[in-house]
Amino acid sequence: MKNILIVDDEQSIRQSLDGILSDEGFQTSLASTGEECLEIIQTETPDLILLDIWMPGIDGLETLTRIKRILPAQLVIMMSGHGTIETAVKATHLGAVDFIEKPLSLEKVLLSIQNAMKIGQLVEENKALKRKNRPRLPDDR
Amino acid sequence: MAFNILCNYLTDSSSPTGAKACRVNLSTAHQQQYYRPCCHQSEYSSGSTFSVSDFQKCIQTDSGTSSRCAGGKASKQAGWGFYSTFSRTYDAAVFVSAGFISSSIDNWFNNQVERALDESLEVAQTYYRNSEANALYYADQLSQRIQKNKLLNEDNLPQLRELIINKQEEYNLGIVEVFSATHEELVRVANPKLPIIEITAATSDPVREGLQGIRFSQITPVGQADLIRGIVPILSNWNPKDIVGVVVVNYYVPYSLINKMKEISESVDQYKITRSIKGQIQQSYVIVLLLIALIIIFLATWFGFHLARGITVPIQELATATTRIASGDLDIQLQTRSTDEIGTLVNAFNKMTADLRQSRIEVNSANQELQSSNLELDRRRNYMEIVLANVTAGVISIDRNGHLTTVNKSAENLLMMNADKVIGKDFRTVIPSRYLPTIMNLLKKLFYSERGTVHQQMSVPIGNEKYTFMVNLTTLRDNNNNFMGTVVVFDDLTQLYKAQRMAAWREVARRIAHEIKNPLTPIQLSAQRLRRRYLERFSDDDHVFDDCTKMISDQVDELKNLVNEFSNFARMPATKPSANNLNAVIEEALALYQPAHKNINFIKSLDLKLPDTYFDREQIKRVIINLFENAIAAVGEKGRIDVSSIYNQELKMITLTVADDGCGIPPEDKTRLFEPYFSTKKTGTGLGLAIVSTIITDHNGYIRVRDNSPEGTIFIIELPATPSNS
Repeated sequence: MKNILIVDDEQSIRQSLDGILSDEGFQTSLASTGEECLEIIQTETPDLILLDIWMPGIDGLETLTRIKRILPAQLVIMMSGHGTIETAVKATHLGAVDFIEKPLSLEKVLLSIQNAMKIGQLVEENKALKRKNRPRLPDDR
Repeated sequence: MAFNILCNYLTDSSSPTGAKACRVNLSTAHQQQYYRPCCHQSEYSSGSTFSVSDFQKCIQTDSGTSSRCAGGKASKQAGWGFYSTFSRTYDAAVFVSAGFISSSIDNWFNNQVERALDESLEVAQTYYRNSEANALYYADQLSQRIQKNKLLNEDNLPQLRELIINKQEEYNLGIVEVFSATHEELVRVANPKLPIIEITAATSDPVREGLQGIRFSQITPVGQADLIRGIVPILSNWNPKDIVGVVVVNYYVPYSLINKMKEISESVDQYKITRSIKGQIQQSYVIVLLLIALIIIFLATWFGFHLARGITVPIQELATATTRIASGDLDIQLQTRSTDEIGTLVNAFNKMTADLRQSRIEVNSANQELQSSNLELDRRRNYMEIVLANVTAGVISIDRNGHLTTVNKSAENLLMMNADKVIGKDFRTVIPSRYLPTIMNLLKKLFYSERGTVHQQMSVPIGNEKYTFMVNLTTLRDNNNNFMGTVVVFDDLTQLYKAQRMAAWREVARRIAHEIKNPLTPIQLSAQRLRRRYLERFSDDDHVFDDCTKMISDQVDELKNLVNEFSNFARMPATKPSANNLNAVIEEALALYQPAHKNINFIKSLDLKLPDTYFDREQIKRVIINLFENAIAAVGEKGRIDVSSIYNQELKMITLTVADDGCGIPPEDKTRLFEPYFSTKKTGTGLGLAIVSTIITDHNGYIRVRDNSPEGTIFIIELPATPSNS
């Protein structure tokens, strides 16, 4: 069962997302701030993080930077209600898999999650393949 | 007479000095006349003739010398002056002295002296003659007595003695002697008071002569005294021709009157001799006097000229130096020759010259400083004028009487007025009366303000538009804190104000987008979740659940679109200018609208000289589209839309106008026209013109709206034709 961490300061959003994702068979954890999110990822490793950009305290982009510092391979989808292209590009640069605009629609969220999972899977496969082929590759240390 | 000659001579010489000398000499003549009574006219004049003629010579010589040696006019004058003073004095002195000498000499040779001498001599002689007569008389008497009484007889000798003694006492005779014919001294009686003196010897000549019958008198000096002798023979009674003896009567004159007489006579003789040469003496004295006088005059003249030279030479040098100073040469320095007043004068002159030089240097440097500071002031004033003319803020100054003194170019432009028409006028007459209370309130605030300055934001309607000014009033005070007037500085905040409002709106839009979209998420997700989970459970006839969830979802979408458009405005990206031609963009926009609106007549008049400039193509296209949208909405079904571009090469400015003949915009709406969510249209977001305004402001341009004639609206956009990327 895939574990998804939802980070948003709005409880209603967390709740509704939790609802639809539970329906779809995901295990969810919830965080209301960036700090909380960073605390959680110290103990557990979510398969995916849904991260809101505009939050009190450390904002989404900063949280994303810190997550990537701890877990570079972590899949993160950014959510924003006022996202501009600039912030979207910036988020992608920082390592976000996708950028979805609020108000969120069920199909879009699920599609984005599926895509992200697929990418994660591909990355994993890639890594496994690389590991398998490693003896054949010259030592790149 | 002599003075007349002198005067004539001097008058003939016809020099001013001569005239002066003439006057002087006349005055001395008066003085001379005062002395005249005590001297002989002829003698005096003979004595003074020499002096006058000599004087003439002297004057002639001196005038020649002075003109030769004095050289300069000043020294000649000074010499003459000095000389005339001396000549005046010596003239007087010489004549007085000559007169005095003459009178003195005359006094010596006075006739009274001569007469006194003669008379005294006569007295002495008379006395001697008298004494001789007496002596002879007494001797006669005695002789006759002796003869008569025959006292010469031997027997009568005592009687004779007695007689002689008696007569001697009786007549107070000196010595009485009787000698016999045989030269024998018979009797000698002497006055006891007389000193013992030598007596007549019996054999002496007088006795012998007496015995020869001669009766005579004789004066014999005895030491200092004189003996006056009367010698008378004694005749015989028998023969009167026979001489029997001699009587000698001596008078004793104690001091030799004879000697005295001699002295007197000698004196008289001497006097007479001297008198005969009186004229010569007088002359020689006068000559000596005149010689001395001449020497003194020469010495005085020499001394005078020497002194004069001592005065005139430095004075001449002073005069030359003064001329040079007057012509501007201040480097002159005179030599000090003496320590007297002239030396002091020269020192003072040198000091004055040095002071002058110093002060000229100071004045020159001060002048230079003044000039440079003047230049600096001028430069600064020019600079200030240029600054004042080019500063974007409007500057108006009012003097203490309320008259306008300065109105700079920006003020003219901002207030749309002509400075020449208002300068010098009272501001109360220039400002429309309905704004006066506001201005007076401001001035009152300024008056009570501690810092002498007041800021206030003011909305001022000028022409058809309303401008927002930040007005700054400052009291002008001079160095002594005296009120000089007021300076008003105002900035056109209209654009800034608009930009601030825009920025505020952008922030508001962002927040609203966030605040609306956030709650929309759970609504949407919940509705969609419901549909996903429960839609299959309802039969096909039951549309309520389907419709309602769909409605929720649709309305969320609608809301989302609205918020997105709002966000578009709010999160308008920064301009990305590139080299473009505005005409091309206009053509593009026209191509979009012209085919779609067949009933609207689009008329373009594009300036073909329009250069390529830097602007954000997409944004400017958006502006044109928005303006077209606005115009189309205004004209309705049918109408006309004019679009034009004009390039002003001088101002480097492109003007884009979009004019319609539609319904127009009421004046009260014009100022709010570019604010977000202000719309006169029933449909539309109210963001169209706000977006236009924002884009134009971002391009450093201006947009304004005017009424079109006869009806409709003109939007005028002015864009700087910047060929650069700035």
